[in-house]
Amino acid sequence: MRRHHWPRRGRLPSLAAWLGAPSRNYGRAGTKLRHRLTSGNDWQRRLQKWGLVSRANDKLGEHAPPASSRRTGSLATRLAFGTVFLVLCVTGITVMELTHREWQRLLESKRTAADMVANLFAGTMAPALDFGDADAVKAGLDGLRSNPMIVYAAVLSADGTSPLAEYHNGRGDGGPSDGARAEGEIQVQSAVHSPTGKRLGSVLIRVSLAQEVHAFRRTRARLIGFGTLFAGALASLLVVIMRRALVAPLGRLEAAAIRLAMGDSVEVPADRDDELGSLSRAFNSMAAAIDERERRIAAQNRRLQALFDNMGQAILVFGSDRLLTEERSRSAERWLDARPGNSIVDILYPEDDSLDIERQAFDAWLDVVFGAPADKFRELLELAPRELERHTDSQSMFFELSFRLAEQVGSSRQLMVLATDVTERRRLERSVLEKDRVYERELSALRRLATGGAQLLGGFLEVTRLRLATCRELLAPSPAPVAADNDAGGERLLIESLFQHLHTIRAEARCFDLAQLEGEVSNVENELGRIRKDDYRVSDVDVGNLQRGIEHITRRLDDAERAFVEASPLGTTALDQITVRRSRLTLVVEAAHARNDRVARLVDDLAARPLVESFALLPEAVARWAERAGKKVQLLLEPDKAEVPLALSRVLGGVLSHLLRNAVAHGIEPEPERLTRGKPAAGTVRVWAEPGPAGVEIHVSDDGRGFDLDALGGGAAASSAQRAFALALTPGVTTGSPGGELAGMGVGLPAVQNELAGVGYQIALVSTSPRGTDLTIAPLPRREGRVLERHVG
Amino acid sequence: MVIDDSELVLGRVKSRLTREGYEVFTLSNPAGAARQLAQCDLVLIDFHMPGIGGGEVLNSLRKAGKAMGAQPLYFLYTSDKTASRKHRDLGFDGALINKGDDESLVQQLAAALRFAKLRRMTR
Repeated sequence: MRRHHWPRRGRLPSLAAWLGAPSRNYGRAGTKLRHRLTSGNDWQRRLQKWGLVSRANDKLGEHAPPASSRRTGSLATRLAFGTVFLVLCVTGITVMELTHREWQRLLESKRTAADMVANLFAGTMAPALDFGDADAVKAGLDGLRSNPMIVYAAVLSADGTSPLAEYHNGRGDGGPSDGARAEGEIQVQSAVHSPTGKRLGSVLIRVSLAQEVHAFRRTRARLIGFGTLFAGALASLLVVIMRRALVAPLGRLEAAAIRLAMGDSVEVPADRDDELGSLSRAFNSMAAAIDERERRIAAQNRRLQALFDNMGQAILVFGSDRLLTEERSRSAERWLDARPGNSIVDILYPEDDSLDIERQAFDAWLDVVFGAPADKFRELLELAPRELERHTDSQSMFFELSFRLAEQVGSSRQLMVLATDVTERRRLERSVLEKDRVYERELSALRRLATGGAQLLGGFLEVTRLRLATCRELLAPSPAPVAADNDAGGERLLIESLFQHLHTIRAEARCFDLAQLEGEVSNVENELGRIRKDDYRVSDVDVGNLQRGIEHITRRLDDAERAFVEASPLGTTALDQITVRRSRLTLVVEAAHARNDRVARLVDDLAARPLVESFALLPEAVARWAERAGKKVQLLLEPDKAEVPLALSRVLGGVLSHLLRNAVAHGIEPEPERLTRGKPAAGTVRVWAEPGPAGVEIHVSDDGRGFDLDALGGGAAASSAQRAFALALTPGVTTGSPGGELAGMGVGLPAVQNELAGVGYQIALVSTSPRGTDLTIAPLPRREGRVLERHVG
Repeated sequence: MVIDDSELVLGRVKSRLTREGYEVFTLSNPAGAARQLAQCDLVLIDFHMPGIGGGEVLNSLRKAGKAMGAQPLYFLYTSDKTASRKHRDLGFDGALINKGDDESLVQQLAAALRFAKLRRMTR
């Protein structure tokens, strides 16, 4: 059958069509239906279930040889075809043999009957021929007319050349012959003998086989029918048996193989003791081995993954298209939100900002790397980014980047990037750097102080106030020239001028670490930026906002100045100072000293130093001494605008240092003793200045136990406290009280006296008692002090 | 080379970049900048300067550089993002943003120098 006529939609195709060999020519309808059958899910599944259509396109088929080199049709189809063909052949041969035999039997019976009729007729013809009675011969022939089977009969002479008489019923051939003249007839001949045995002639009879042919055909049809039914039944039975015995187990194996390919654990029944049972057992062994191997591979992968995850590295692989592949570590997902198919450029530099030079440089590097030969990769690594900083909502992360050539197959290349989390290290470094910066700032501040006090900040404050004043003028409605100019060019100029001033203020504020001032400037800059975007259209509201912004900046500047003044030991004086060279000032002082006029006094005022300069080192020193002596001491320095002469300022720091050390060592009692005496646990040492009749006087008092005058010896206590104190100023005289390493050597007070005397000052005891001691540093009488001071100058 | 009208900014930038191993020339006035161009790989120019804009400074330096055969990269250095987005229109090779953030400056500068080398390789 070369052409199948497929049923219309909705009708099942015939079994012959389904079981028929694949046809190359289905016709349009056939092609469509076949496509529907083989591609439609229902039919496809049904055919596959019946084992009549191969599953070459399913999962296992992915690994099968190409379709052109494979035998088409399923094994069941081929077996069914073979079975049907075999049964049909056997049935056909059997039917043919049976029909042949039946025909021979019918033919033989007919021939026997015909022979008998011929013999009988020959017997009846013997007298007639012997006597040559032609009428009798003719009458005998007429007697045969009653038999409708005889289509021809003839009585032949002894030589057999010509019929003496003949009969023909008009349906046969009508002439004598030596055998069957036609397929549907049989011819017999019988000799006629006289009683003496002499041959008288012969009779020839031709008999019709119509009845036999009819019977034969009926029998043959019946045989063919039965044979076909038998063949069909047998073929169906064989198909069912094959399906149950072969196709179904193979189908189960196939399904199991598919599940195995999908990664499932499978086991098929293997209780049969035949080839399929062996195959099933072999399959189960193979599945178990694959399962075990999969498990080992999975465990190995897990170990590798765990290793990756514990390496503290995000591992990413990408190709020349910049897109990430599947291979990545979990850290890459967690830290960088890396997913397969994402761009490596977007992953490392997520903000698609044309201003991001790091992104541009990385992009350019990728261009070069993927365009260069593989052996140049190591050289190009020098130009790869090595660090990455990623900002999230809550924190920044730092990574060290390392690039590797992951794969090179032909011209296709893949790179791997290892991003190591160095956040903690970098934070530590930055912390150290920040501390360095603070230290540097402090050094810088010291340097600034050393090179001119706060004059740099003073300069900044002054210039910034000028800039702010300019900004106010620009924003004033009238008659400021720029703001009054209401055209677009004027407004542009206004905004850009404001930008320029504020930009500089912000940059300089950052240099002084004035973050709040910087923030205020930034706010106004943002406002300007908005106006700039709005094509420089400045409304009255904008002007008001900008003016308010300028006032905020001014207030922040004042705050900064106030904070500096409060933090400075010199107070507001700090901003009023400039640096001059000491040697030149000394020359001026000396030059003016010979004079006793207003210039000399002005020069003395010029040279005078703030008292607080002499306090600079005392707080830390007193705290250190108190800690060493195991005492609690509170130091109260009362700075004011008092100034001391230049000469005194040079020694005053050392003098106060001596006096405070003595107060801590001898005056202030240990805490238990103070508590016993009803004093506060912490002793207090106070230093302050007062104007005296001859100049500024500096007082040093404490609430300690007072001088132990008796210990000075010589009955000093009995005479007077003043005389006893004078004795204490003598070198080598000491109270002998345990002052530890701080004092008690009998050196401090005499040294103080000498230092002060050298600059025209003296120290005096105002009072001493168990409630405390009060000392005063005051100028010597005029004549004596002047001489000494000149000497120092 | 860094050109900025604020001495304070210049001092800070020079201090940080010198610590990173760069040789830094700082100029508060662009007038003498051309003489140093031959020794520079990259020139950072402030956008807002009194009396003259960064774009004008760039144009004059480019002309001087061409005459001298020096072709450093010219980058705008500003915290003004709106201005920095115009860097291409103004003729700059790029822009370094976040002015005042020293750490950001170091990273951006390294990237800019890498970018310059890569660009030379692809030419």
